[in-house]
Amino acid sequence: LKRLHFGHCVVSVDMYEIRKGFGEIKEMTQAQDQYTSIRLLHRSYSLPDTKTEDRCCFFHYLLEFYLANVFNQCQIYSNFHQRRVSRIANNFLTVKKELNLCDTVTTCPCGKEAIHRYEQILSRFERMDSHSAALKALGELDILLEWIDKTE
Amino acid sequence: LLVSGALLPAPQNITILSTNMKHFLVWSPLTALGEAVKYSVEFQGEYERDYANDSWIPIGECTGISATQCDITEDISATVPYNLRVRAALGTEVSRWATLNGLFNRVTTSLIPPMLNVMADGHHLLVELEHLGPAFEFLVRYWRKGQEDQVYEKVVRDSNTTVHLETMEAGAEYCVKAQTYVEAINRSSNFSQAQCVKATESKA
Repeated sequence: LKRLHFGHCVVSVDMYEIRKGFGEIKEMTQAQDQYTSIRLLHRSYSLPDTKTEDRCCFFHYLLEFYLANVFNQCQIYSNFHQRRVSRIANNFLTVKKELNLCDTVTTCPCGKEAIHRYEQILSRFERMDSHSAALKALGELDILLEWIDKTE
Repeated sequence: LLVSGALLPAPQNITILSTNMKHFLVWSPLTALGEAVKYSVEFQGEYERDYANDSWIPIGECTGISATQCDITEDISATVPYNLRVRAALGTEVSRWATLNGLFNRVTTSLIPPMLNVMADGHHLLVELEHLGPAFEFLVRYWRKGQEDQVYEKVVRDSNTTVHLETMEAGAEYCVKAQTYVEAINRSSNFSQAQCVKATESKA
């Protein structure tokens, strides 16, 4: 488990389960991405480079973004794909539930920086049709996992 | 449950057997006349309930099977409550879905004390541990017989290899026991029985 510390709040991310699920669909997902010129999770606003005080909120936004906009678009894929997305999604939900237990006022304040970074992602996401955008975001999970890995 | 032309009943006695993070769904067979009954299993995690319109996902390996059990380990892949259901089919006739009574969370799996093999290789105290998969770690405790107040511990994450615990004193007897720990559910098994071995006597 990867533990992320936000103030006195500690959140565990089961990187093994998520990587296992993603590893089995990564290639086919990225191969279907038509908008190769667009990148959602851009290096210029990565999670590890986010100011410490904004990181928790930005991370919370990222989790909710994937839960609400990305994984549920994958119902139309093959059974093989659906089952891997379910593994990833239910582990994201576990993280989000832990994060929800944090005292949001002190440990997860939402400042301008976090909101601005999230809006960057959303604006790029909304330039594409929802299916293609969800596919791209799913394919960029390895970037998010790298961000999580690098976040102290 | 005898089926004779009546509407195909749904499977019954649906249960989960879960030991050491291996999870099986089992149910009672429908006794049918003629063609074998086929069963299909679907699962639904908390995500599917909260974000994906209560959708269900078929388990490919358990779609149209004759067996009355299904290995659901690969799909119970997060520590959240899961719903499971089974239905029967006979030719073109399909039964109602029968849903597991209550949700299943892998945090309730039964953790069994691990099997271990303790060896004395000359003066070296070695232990081989049962391979249970990547989710498992082991806490190994060992001590010199007669000095039970001095117990040493070692955490073993890779059970594929033989672990060297200690260089023993000649002729002394050492005991070892172990328990498993699963970080994903933050639970441990009980300790195994202790196994004791004796170091070779030193050559006079």
